Amino acid sequence: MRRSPPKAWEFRPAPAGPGWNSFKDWQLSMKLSAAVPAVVDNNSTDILAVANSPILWACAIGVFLVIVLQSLIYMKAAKTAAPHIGMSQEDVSTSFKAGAISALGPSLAVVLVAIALLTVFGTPTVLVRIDLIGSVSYETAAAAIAAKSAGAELGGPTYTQAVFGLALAAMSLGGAMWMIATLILTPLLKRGDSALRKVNPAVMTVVPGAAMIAAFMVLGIGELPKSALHIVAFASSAVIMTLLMLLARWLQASWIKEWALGIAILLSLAITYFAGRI
Amino acid sequence: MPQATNIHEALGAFDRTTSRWGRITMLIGLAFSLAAPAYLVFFSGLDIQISGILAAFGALAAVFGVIWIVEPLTYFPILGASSMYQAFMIGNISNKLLPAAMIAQSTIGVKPGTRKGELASVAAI
Repeated sequence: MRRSPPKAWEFRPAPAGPGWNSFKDWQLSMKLSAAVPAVVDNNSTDILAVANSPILWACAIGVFLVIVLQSLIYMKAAKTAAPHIGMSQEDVSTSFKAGAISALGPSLAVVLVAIALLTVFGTPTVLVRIDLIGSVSYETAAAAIAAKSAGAELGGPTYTQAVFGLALAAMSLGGAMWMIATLILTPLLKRGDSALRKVNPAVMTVVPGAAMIAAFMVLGIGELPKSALHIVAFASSAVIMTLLMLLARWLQASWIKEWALGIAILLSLAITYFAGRI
Repeated sequence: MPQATNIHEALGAFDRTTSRWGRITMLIGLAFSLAAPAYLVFFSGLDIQISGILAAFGALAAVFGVIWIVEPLTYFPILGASSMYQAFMIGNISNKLLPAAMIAQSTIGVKPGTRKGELASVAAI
């Protein structure tokens, strides 16, 4: 394995020094790297040389712009429809603001994981897979599974550029499956949903609430057996969230609801941290 | 009733816009997300075998295959059709988007599963 392999796609001027002082030497080295770029690149553990390539950056920016475009179209559609169903523009703006503030706490958690993964996947991949369209819990597991299937390990000496490429391909394909399932299932579910609404409108107000409680309980209870600290985190955040919601109702202060999630995350993190030191 | 037709038309327009543009933007997002690995596999000069990718994908499908189908089914009644295209493109649904949508609904006092709840979650997400 060479320390600093020449990259096939990168133009590098000849370094000064013995053996590199003639144009012919440089030409020869370029020819060599052009002849065997695969071998040199594949075995290099210098992931970032590939992971920070301009093409990956272009794809990341493309994903970012398409999300911005979608958000603008959706926001406009919501604002246009709102007054017709007895919802004020203010309600839409308040929802927008509440969403933004509530996302602060969870986003902080995502960003912490993202920073830790920067050297493993490179900035554009972390932006796309962890922050923009992937999810923090799925992607790292997916990349680890993909690397393992090739007999390698993330971040270790076996984690070469080729393994990074394989991991990125696998996690992108896996992530794509959610989108494909959504594109196929949503129109079908919508048909069933409209039919059900006509038959029994009350069901459609109970089902979402029940589904939400079920989804969060499954996610939360799945964490409990891992350690005592998991139970501390789960219980303390549940108690803090409940208290904040009661407080918001008692004081009639809706801003408390907006900040509740962020406060609950930070306080329960602190409580879990101190519980871990006892 | 003219009022009812008005509501009906407004919501119809909302559904058409969100399902058409939701799908279009999701497909473009999908294309960009697959373009990055496609470049590495086919054009970067790295030697990545298709069979290796299939093996890795198979290993992922064994772990996540059920979730790929179950998650859209579970979240549909919570999110509503329009937000499905937002949430499943943006990701981090359970840890970020669902709490944000719930808190927005609770802040303005609307219920999930209603059309008002749907608009609130669209804005929040």
